[in-house]
Amino acid sequence: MNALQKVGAPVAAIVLFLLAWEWLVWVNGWPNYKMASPSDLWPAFWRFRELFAEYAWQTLWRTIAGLMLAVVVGVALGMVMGFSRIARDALYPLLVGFNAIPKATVVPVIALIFIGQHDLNTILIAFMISFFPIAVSVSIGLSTLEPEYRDILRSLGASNMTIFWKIALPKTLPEFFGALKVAVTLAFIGTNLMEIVEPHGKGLGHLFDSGKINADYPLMFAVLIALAVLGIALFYVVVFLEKIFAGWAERTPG
Amino acid sequence: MSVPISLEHVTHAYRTKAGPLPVLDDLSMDMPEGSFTAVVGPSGCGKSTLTRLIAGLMKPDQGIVRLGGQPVTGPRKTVGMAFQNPVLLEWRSILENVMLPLEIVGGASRTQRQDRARELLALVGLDGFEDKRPSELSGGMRQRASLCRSIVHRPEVLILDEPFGALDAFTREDLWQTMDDLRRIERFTCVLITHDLRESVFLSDRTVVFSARPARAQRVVEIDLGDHRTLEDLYAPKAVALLADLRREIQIAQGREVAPAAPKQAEAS
Repeated sequence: MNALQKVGAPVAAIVLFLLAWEWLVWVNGWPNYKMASPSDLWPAFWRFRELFAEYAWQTLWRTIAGLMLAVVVGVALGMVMGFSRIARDALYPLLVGFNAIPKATVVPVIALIFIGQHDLNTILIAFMISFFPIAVSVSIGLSTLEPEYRDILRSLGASNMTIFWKIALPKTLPEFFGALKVAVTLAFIGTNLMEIVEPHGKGLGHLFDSGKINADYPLMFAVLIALAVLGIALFYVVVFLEKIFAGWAERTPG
Repeated sequence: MSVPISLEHVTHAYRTKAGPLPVLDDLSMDMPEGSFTAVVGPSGCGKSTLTRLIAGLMKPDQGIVRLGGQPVTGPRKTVGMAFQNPVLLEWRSILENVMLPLEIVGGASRTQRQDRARELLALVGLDGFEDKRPSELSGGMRQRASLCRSIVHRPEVLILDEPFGALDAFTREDLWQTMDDLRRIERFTCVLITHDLRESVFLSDRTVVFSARPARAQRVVEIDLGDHRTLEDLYAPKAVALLADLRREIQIAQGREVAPAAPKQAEAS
């Protein structure tokens, strides 16, 4: 019953959503060059299935690479800001300002600086758009650590490094994974920004762009669905990791 | 054998925006080996500052804190601490929580650590709960585990900063009994910060009443009620007289707060 509910409820929601979509297109009599309907998507996907596989892989690995870079840099920044008040005061305005810049405007700049290195460019944009929530959550997790937690180890002469590994890091993991869930979807947006704005014949964004040029709406929507599927898949990988490393933070309701 | 804990003319002030805020004023105390000293006093009078100085987490502005004759210059492994907040690590089992100080202090195998932690958990009545998470335990049980953690590495000095303060009255009395039992089995010199006069009379060998900030040892009351006290003993005439005495002393200490000098102090905090 419980398992059925767990799988059945989201599947039912997706089916209902697709039915409503199909109905909306059908009732308005929209032609394919105006709006694709769900029933058009599968043929479009199947026709280009080999391209989909190849491009999806390119999008996926570059997103993951950007995300991993965001984790490394975000955690490092978060640690510096979490442990040092001065660093926090100094870096916050800079980070917020950087985060406020629309990344679409950074795309041509990056593309020009590292001209021709499409993989690097894409990874960089995915990284830039996704490291902020990680840095903020880690810094908040560390700076709000209750002093008693520190004291129980510090009173035994433990080093700051020991306190970090034994207490601060594990205690921050739930916040970290919360931010990582946000970062996953952001990183996909970053990858596709680069792939669409500065197409280089790579990634699902490029396929979307080709669809746009040919006014092939079913293809464009099929790409969007493929992106959504990749996003969901990566999101649940993070959820799985969270269950392993920070499962203790989840309380059974009741 | 030198005196485990001694304070010599300890004076300390916190630096605040409104200028220095004196908390301890020329405090001198000796705590003999194996003794149990309770410290009571008005809120914010510097009792917790005292624990941080003894633990070596802070240095006094003036005066010397000695542990076992040696001046305290920083934290040392022979100290154990427990707070009002049990601060158990949610991602560890109860057993692993109690083992934590042994991991820092080192010098024991994993099996030895486990055996030691199990032994203590059994002493406080937590056998069978070793593999539970802290969130699965009641407040009183968590505080028992926290007590075990504070003494697992056999510290010479145990510092208790209101560890029973957040518990309901009956649970608190149970834990007094547990604490008294632990004290007979494990050897440590204990300083207990508390707001509860009955607690200080039940547990301590002597109770020091702190004055309002900046704290001086206003009065030292010997609690000569013998070993193995029971809750009933608290209603015996001798204990009642001690309680009344302490109560009066606290009122004198608080009286300073409403004296004309008080508004200035309130501003400073």
